Amino acid sequence: MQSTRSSNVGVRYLSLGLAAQNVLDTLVAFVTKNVDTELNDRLDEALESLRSFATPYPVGAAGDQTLRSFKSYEEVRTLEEVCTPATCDDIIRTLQALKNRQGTTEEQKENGLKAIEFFYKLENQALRNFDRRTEFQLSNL
Amino acid sequence: MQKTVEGLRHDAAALRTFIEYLRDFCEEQEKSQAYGPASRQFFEYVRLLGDVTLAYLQPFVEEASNYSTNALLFAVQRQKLVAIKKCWSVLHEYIKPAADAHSLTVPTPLVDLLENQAKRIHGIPSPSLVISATNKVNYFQHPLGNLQELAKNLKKTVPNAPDLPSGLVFISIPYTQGSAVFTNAIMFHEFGHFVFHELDISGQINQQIAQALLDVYQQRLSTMARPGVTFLYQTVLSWAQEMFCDLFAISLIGPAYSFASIDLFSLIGELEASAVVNFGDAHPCDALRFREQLQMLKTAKWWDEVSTLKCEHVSLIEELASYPETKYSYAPQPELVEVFKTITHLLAPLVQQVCSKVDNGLTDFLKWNQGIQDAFANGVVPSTIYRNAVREHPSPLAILNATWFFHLNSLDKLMAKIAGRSSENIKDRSSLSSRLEMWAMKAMEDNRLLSNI
Repeated sequence: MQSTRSSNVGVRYLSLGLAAQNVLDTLVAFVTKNVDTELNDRLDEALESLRSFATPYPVGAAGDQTLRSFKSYEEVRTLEEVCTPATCDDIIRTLQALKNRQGTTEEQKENGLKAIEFFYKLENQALRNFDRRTEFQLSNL
Repeated sequence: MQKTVEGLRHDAAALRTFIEYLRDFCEEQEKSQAYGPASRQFFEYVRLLGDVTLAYLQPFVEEASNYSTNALLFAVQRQKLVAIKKCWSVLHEYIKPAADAHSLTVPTPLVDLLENQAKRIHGIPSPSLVISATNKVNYFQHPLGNLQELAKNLKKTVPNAPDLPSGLVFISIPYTQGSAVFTNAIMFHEFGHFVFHELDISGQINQQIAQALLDVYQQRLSTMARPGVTFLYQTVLSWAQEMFCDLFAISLIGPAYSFASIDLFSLIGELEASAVVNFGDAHPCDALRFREQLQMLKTAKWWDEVSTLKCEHVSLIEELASYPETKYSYAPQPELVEVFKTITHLLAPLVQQVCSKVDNGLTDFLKWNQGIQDAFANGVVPSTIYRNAVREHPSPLAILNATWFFHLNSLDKLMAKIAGRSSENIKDRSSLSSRLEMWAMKAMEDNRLLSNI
């Protein structure tokens, strides 16, 4: 009852890594076998998370977006380590285009590969953070 | 990380060996020791997950080999194996402590009491406690939510992976404390973490925390890095959760929790005068924690009984509660204490709402306390009390609090009746305290048997 949070921090990073892996599984199936079962479901989950990260704080009002972005420090930290809000907007556009199956088959595969690269990096960072199990220090503020 | 198919095979084979060991370890432990139903459920989960993961490794490597000419896609497969391996490394951390806590090393009557009290809390799954033995002199609750989320994601990663049974609550107790009655009252606090998560208490206060952060930090909030702001929020939420758990434990078992906290905090040096006003990264300061506990005990009418005790625990609670708020401090971010002070008042009503159907044991205590005190004073296990010439079996909750009362106030009465023993002799005090805990544990076990006859 006098523990620090660090003992529980790792599991959240690992969950984030696995969530990225689940998106990767569907993306790889789409790109290599043209199988899109569950692709849109996984893309929807990823888009929701990325959109809340890309949305700036509405400082001055405790709106829903603010609260959502407060929810997982591990998620916010890992996302920030692999992308800026601008590159995040870019990946959101790519995922949205994939979800709508926009463009030719080749263009869709290109979008798929771009998304794979992004989620690979995200999973990689989450797994690294899991290994380090470090926390943000308030003195860094 | 391995870059070739051969390397991947090597890695997968090593993982297979690791999983087989853990799966077999669970099987062997269950054969050689007795465990409660929750631990058995957990071991079964590990075994089933082990079976499906082992079955998955061969087809996984064969599928991954198809991507060996594409560096990115092959790297994705390699990383998947790493992620699965790390999941098993998390389970590795849970399995051994759970295996060490077999039924002979677990305070079963207290676990039963906790599970019974929890049944009266609306909105949570029927809990099953997986007790594990930690080498730390401390108590922990491993957030099931985190493990459930991990298991959910693992289910999508490994085909046919089982669900982690709902309602499992992982509580670690120091491996030396299996038979203890006194400090194991802390388990009720740890259980509060499970309730906090299951009832989404954070969802009921996050608006107020966010607003308080905005009020105190104002425009500075917008200039901070986003992880920093999130961390501020989670720090306040963590403090709120700890305080919720304190008040929750009191609602479940009354002052036994506060007394146990004092004993544990003293043991680990938390109650030094210079430390009691300092907030930690995960906990509010002890002065504030005991101020709120005192208030809760007063509201529940328990304090009328506690204040009659002549012991240092009582005066210490009052002393801690009386520290002025201006002394509270959190060195890394002093303003955060101000944020927390504005939301502290929300917690007691939330606990009262959650525990509205829970009996805090005061009525039973008033009914049986004197009989239990008399029994202990004569070295008798208080399994059966005669009240008005009727045989009665005191409830475990009454026994728990009455044992604490006797321990704090009347141990010398028993000591005086035993030739050659003195309350000034540390060895005598220690051995009699342990004996008292044994009697209390026995009386709680007897209650379960005798009440069913």
